[in-house]
Amino acid sequence: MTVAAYPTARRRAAPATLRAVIPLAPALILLALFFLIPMFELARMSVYEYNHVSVYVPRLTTANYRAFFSDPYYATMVWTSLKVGFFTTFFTVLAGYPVAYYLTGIDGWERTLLSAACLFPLFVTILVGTLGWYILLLPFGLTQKVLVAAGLLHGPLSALNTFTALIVVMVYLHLPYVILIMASSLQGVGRDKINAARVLGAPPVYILRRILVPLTMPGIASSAILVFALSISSYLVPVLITGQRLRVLPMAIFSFTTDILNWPLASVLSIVLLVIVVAATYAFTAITNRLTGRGRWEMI
Amino acid sequence: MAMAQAGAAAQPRGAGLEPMLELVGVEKTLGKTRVVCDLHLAIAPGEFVTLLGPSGCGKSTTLNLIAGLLKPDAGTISLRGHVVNAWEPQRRRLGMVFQTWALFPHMTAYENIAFGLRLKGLGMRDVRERVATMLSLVRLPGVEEKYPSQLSGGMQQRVALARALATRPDVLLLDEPLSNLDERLRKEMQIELRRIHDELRVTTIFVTHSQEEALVLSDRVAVMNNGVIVRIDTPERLYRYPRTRFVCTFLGEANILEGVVTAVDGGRVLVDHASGPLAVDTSAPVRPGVRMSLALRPEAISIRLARSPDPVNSIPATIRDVVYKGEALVYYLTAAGADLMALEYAKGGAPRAEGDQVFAEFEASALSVLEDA
Repeated sequence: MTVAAYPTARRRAAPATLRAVIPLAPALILLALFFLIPMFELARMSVYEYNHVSVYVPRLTTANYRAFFSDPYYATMVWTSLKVGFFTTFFTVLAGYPVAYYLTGIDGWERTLLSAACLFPLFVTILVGTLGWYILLLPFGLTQKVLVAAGLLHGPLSALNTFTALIVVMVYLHLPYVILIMASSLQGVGRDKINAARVLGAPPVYILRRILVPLTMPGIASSAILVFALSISSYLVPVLITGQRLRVLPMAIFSFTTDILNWPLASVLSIVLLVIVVAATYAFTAITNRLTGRGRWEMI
Repeated sequence: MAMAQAGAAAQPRGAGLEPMLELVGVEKTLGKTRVVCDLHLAIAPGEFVTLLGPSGCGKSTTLNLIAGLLKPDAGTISLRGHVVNAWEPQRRRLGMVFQTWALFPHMTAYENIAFGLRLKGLGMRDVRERVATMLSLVRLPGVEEKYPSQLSGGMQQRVALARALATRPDVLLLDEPLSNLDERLRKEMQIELRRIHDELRVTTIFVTHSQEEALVLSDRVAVMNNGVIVRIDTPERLYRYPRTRFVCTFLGEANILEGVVTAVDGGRVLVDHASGPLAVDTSAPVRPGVRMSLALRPEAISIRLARSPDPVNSIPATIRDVVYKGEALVYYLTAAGADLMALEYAKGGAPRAEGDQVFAEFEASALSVLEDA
C-alpha cells in the first residue's frame, strides 16, 4: 500500500518478489513433487480409456465421466458420502464447541487433564480407535451388556452396520480437532467481552448468538472444513463400522484401484471427491464471511 | 499533582443517606488464595469511590464480586437495599468498563452502545436518541458507523464508557479503564471522567493502582492491601494523615522518622530523633517513653543553607543527590540517623548542589504519626 508514496518501489518490485520466492522454494518444490504432479496424473488418467489388460491406454475419452454421471449407483454413493460428511461435521462441531468453551474457562490441573484427554486420541492411530469402537459395538459386546443390564435393550445389539453407529464413531474420532481449534478461537474472544455482555443484561443464549458465534466464526469454519474433508474421505472407519452395506466414495475408489483395477474410473471418483471438498470449503467460507460481515471489521 | 486536590470537600458526598451499595463481611477465595477477606464497604448514592492498591490486593476481585461476575464465599452484597448475592450480573442494573474496554469488535460504535438498550426493550427511536446523547456526553459525535478497530484507543475508551452509561445504571464500575492509555490521554480522560461524573452523578466505583488517578478523581479512596481495606477516607485526609506505613508509602512519597517521646505538652509532642529533637503536632494520646514513627512528605521540607532563626524543626543534612524533574527538584539528603527526600518547586532560585551542607526545616504539623510503629 506504500507503493504510491515511493516512486522507486516499482523498479524494485521484481527483484523483491524474487527474493521473497527463494525462501519459499523448498516448500514450493515439495508441493509440486508430491501434490501438483500427482494431481495432474490423476486428472490425466481420468480422461484415458480403460483397458482390463493394461489398466488404461493413453487414448482420450469422456467415457469414464459419462459412466459416472449416467449410473444412479454413483449418485447414491455421492449422496451417502455427503450425508456422512455433513452429519459428522454438524455433530462434531456441536459437541466440540461447549467442551472448548469449558476448556477456556478453567486452569491448573483441570485444564491439563482435559487438554491431555483431547490430545491423546490423536496419538492413537485411527485403526486402533475404530477397532475399539468395533469391539464395543459388537453384538454381545460390552455396550450390549450394559444396555441390557440397564433394561434399555432387549435382544442383541444391532448398532454395528448402521449409519448412526458410523456417525457416532466419526464424531468421536474428529472431536479433538474441533476442540483444539475452537479452544484457541474462543480464547481469542476474551472473557471480558462475555462479561461485558452479561453486565449489559444479555442472557446466555443471546451472548452465544450475538457475541460468541459471530466472533468464533473463523474457528467454526476452519474446524468444520477440516472435519468435513477428513470424514468424507475416510475409508477405514466406514469399512470397519458399516462394511459394504453403506458404500461411500473412498470405498469405491479403493476397490477400483486395488481389486477391479479400473484406474480411470477411480481417478474420476477421486476428482469428484476433491471437487466436493473444494466446493464445500469455498461455500462454507463464503457463507460464514457473508453472515458475520467479515472484512468490514477486525478483531480487537 | 497531589497538591491540586487540596481544598476538596472534606465530607464524603451523600454522607448520611441510605447506601447505594453495601458490602458486609465479604470474603472470596480464588484457587488457594484468600483474595478478599472480611471486606466492609458502604457507598452513598452519587459517590465516586476508588479502590486503590497494588496488583493482587483484591481490588479487581472486589469489583467483580459487586458486578456479580464472581460470587462471594461469605458476607452479603446489597444494592439499593436488596441483598444481591445470588443475582446474576444481568439483573443488577450496573454499568462496567473493563481494562481492555471489551468492545464487541463485530459491531459498530452505535451497535455497541445500543446493545444494552435493545436488551431493555427500548424502541428504535429511543435507542437512536439515547445513543446520540451518550456519544455527545463522551464528546465523540459522528463515530456511529465506525467499528472499534477503526477507532483510536482513547475513542474506544469513550465508546466503552458510553455503552456502560447508556442503560442508566445505578452503579458504574470502572476496572482500571485508563491503564491502557498513554500518559497524555490518561490525564485528559481523568478530567473527562470527573466531568461526566459531575454531570450524571452516577454512583461510581473506580479500581486503579495509580495513586494519582485515585487522588484526582475520588470523593473517597479505599486503600486496599492483602484483601482488606486498610483505610478509606477523602483523598486529602488520606494524603495528609496516612496513619499507616502502607498508606503513606503507597500514596505518594514519604520520609519516615523514628524516635522516642520525651515530653508531652498539650497537642505538641517532643520526639527524640537521632538528628535532634523533633516537635510534632498530634491529637493522639501519647506518653513519654513511647516509640513513635512519623511520616513527613517531601514537599513539606524546606531546604536552607543557614539555620533560620528559631525554627520549629531543623535537621542538619548533606545533599547526596539532586534530581531535576522539570517543575521541581528532588533532593536526597543524608542526615544523622535518616536519609531524607525533599521536593522543592523550582521558582528560579539558585538550586543547591551536591555536597552542600544544608538544613531541612519543616513545621510541627507536617509530621503525622503512624499507628503501626
